[in-house]
Amino acid sequence: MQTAVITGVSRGLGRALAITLIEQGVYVVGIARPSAELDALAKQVGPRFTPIAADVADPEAMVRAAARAFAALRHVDLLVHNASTLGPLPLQPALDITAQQLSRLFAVNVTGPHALTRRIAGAMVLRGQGTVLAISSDAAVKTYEEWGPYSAAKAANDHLYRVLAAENPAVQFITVDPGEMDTAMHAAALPHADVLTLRRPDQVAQGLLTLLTHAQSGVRYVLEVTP
Amino acid sequence: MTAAVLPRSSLIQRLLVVHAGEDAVFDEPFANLPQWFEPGDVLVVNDAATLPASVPMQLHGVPGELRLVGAPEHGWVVLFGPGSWRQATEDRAAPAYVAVGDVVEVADRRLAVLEVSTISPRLVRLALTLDDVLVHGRPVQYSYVPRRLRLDEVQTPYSTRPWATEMPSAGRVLTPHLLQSLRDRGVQVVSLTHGAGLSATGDVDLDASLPLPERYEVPQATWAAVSGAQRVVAVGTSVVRALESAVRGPLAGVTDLKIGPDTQLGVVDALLSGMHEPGESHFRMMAAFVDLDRLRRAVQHAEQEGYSNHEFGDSTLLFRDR
Repeated sequence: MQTAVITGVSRGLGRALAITLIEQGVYVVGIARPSAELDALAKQVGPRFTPIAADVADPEAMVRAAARAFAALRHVDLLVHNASTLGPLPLQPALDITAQQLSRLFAVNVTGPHALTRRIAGAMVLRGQGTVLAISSDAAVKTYEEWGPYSAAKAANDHLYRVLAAENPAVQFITVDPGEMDTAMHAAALPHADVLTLRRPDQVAQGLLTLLTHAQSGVRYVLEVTP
Repeated sequence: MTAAVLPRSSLIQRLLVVHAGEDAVFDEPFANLPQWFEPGDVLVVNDAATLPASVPMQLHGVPGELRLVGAPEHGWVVLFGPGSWRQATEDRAAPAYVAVGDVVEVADRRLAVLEVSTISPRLVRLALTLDDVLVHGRPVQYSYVPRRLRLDEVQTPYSTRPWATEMPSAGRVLTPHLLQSLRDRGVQVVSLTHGAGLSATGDVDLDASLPLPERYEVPQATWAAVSGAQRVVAVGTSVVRALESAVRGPLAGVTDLKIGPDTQLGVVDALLSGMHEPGESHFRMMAAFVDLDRLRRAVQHAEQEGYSNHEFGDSTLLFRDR
């Protein structure tokens, strides 16, 4: 693997994955909303990293981001959909969620990312190689009260990827449940969780890369991590 | 011919086949394309993504538009006066005359005019960046299109680097599914990148010089596939220009090659393109494949049968017989 595009790169798993890949010599384009954290990451990791400030919920912005990414990388070997939102916090019962809130949540988790997938995976089909990985959650398969909209979006992606894999045998489409991680997003959802029981994003990043060496298209993985 | 004015479903796409050595044409649904191929054929596509090459600007306080001619970092643009794509380009107001040192404003950026072309005073060079274009630009579009196009509507399914200022539209209907069908048939599908440029500007002197020099890059692996091919099928006139430039010169560079009825083709055996009519530079290129009389009869047939033209229109598959 020589090149990767990662969304949600300014914090948590996205940031850890970008740093791990760059340390291994991979050229990375990182997409995130504009922030001081994105600028700081760019400064920290140097010229193998190209930051793109854009909102994944905006399909038009994703088309432009893909153009910028190809200008920097020529080909994309790996696309990681890591950016995500839980929706309104604190988490609420599904009947309390408005259609507008649900729509925004799906824009960030499903439809905006799909615009980026279209622009990048099409070229992977032509080239006959490439991997698209979406971060899933155990909420996609289990029933947790108050996690309805997020669960639904993650489940939608899991199924979308199985279909993409069936339709495009030349490209690898997988989703991965990374387990519970010590991230700002986790703290926002479950502020009282015991952080000692949570996985570190850099461990998970390493685990994802190991998984990629033998992953099969169309499969939803649950990541095993040995601390 | 009827204009196809917006993106249409590939299910209604039609294919006009002009076959070598036969004075007949064949009407096909586009989905039958793979049946015209044989194992050992090599299909070459242009993987250039389409830039949002129309950028709003201000010149001496008057709003206008610039259209990128080639790579943003090369900086060559055509200036347009007030108005929009809703007017025919030839009816657009001309911009004020500019001289080296004048300033063109794009959003909050002030870009100095570095050079004015001898072809037309509207063709100028600015210190432009890719980000100026990606942030502020929109797709170039023409007056027959009834609404604003989104950038994803002017991309081929497999596009990569943003090099084209107008869509390499022949490949717009080559879906991943269709590419797979071609491969299943034993056809090798390979790519090159060619910065397809503007098809019209409305400026008489400029339009007479089209196509302007365009950059291209043919990867070694593509050249190897082409060299060992039974038949080479180019998807789009931009691929013909790139391959015929590569056989005459380097595999990558900037080409000013113009292809017409007198050109002896060195590489390409067939062309998949849109529907083109006499008077267009694309039609002249088609005349390098098939003699002009046959070509005119094919266009007449297409008109009678209700084929549609322009970038969202039907397709022609033209086998070379000369």
